[in-house]
Amino acid sequence: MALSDVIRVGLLCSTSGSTALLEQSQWRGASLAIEEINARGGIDGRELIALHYDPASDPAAFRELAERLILQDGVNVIFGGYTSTSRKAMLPVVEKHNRLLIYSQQYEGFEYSDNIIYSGASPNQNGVQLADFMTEAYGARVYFIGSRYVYPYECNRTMQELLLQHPEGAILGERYLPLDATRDQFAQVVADIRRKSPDWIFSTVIGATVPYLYDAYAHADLDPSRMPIGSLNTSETEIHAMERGIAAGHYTAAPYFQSVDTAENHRAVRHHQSRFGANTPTDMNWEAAYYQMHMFAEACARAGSDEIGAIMSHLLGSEFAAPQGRVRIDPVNHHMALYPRIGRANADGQFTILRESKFAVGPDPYMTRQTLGDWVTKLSTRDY
Amino acid sequence: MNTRADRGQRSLTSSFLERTARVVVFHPDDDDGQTLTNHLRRMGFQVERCWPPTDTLPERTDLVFRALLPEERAPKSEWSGPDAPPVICVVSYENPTFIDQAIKMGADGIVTTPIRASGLLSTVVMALYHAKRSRQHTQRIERLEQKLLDSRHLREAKGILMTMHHVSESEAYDILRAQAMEKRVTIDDICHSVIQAGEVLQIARGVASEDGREKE
Repeated sequence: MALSDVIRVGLLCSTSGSTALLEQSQWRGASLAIEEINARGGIDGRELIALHYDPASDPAAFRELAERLILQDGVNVIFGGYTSTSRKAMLPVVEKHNRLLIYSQQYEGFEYSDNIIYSGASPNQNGVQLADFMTEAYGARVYFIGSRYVYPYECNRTMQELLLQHPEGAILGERYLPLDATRDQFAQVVADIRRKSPDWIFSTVIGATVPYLYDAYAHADLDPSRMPIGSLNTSETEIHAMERGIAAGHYTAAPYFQSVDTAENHRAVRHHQSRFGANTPTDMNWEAAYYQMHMFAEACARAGSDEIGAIMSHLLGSEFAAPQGRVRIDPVNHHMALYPRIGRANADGQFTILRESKFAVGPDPYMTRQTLGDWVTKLSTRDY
Repeated sequence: MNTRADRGQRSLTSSFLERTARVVVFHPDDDDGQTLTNHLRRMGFQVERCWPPTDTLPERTDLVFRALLPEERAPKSEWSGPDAPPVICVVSYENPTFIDQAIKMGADGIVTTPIRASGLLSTVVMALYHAKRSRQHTQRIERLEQKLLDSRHLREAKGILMTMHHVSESEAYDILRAQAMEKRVTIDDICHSVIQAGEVLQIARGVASEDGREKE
């Protein structure tokens, strides 16, 4: 009986490698939720325990460790994955053994698996909004810079399709740098950006190299009020890793920022700060990992089991009062209904929220009904 | 009554399978590469796997599988051309970026990783079938274009004979046909000779030919 007394889930968050910074934020969000769940008496009196392994930002390690969690540790549910490459590495493992993977990360869309819940933003919940806001405020002549892998390729393609619907839409450059690129390589791209002088820069730079881009930009004396960077992934955590103030004036579209003004967020951020220190920011990665763990625990309690066959019907269609607002797992496509927001980084490393959706926007991971400009009906303008 | 007709028909699928098609698989030697080659062998194909892709294909290749890696952004289409075998691309991400890339490479089909045995035969047969149909269509179009050209030559040659010898159209045709039979060549060959001769005569006659054209 000893084993069935606790519920063990797998948690794969890298502590080293190119995306460790963000995966540590996921780990804090998941761990905080587990503490809260256990403080309330666990899942129907059973303690929730996370078995954590470090995949070191390596997709092959994600695959091996997912298999180890299932075969050796007997885990039914795995949380984790930042890059699409790591998710894709785990997909065949969870499908083969019929286990559940909860992937708490926004990504480029165009995927579905019976064995995965996709709990970050779909491209219609951040990219569409960013394209619309930025073209309205700055123009549609855009320079693209990203990391060299599938997320930036596909994300840029989606963004280009939106921009080219605009009468002045133009792609002034498209550059990809490896996930372990140097600061110097970014300086060269920024020099090219300066020459081409776009209206704004769309960044899909990922992980440890994000600060290099903003740093190279700041040192090239470019002005964010005239030619800002827009991103879907640059969060409080990346900004925290930069020199103070250099991200100020640049934009990010995401369903969550630490500055979101809800009672749930204030409470969760307070708990987070008491646990990890006032200087450690929360971010979109933290929040998605946080609400997903809570949603899992609630579904597990209702199902009385963490086996995929039993729990899936309780996860699908379920809702939760998350820090960003009341979110819901779409029963058809396994993605989330979320609240798109546009934030502008301020001097304190936080985001000033310029626009946010009043209602949850349903996920459209295959981008079947997205056109530039149609989202304004879904968002309210808000002055802070 | 229909059942009898059906019984008499050959299965298209087994006709592809019976040919023990020679398949080249350009795929890294990983789980997917192995699943793919093993299952193709299971289905009776003659399979060779290698990575990276080679610039030329072995003789008599019937089908090519080609992995599109996320890291290579714009692979060149190595074996295009009218006689090239059909290509099935293997993609890891079933999104527009990679689907477009496969189409640009001239792919006749796409399979997605993780590779599964189920679905593979259908994709292979459809790719071979469509490639065969497309080859037949290309040949048919070539034949029709040739016919179109032949009939233009015939019209032209008849016109020359009609103005030079003052004969009717059917008489002109009879002359051409008689010549072809006598010399044991096609009517089109005779037309060519007449047109060439006509050109020479036209140069010689100079202005006269323009008068002739005006009369028409």
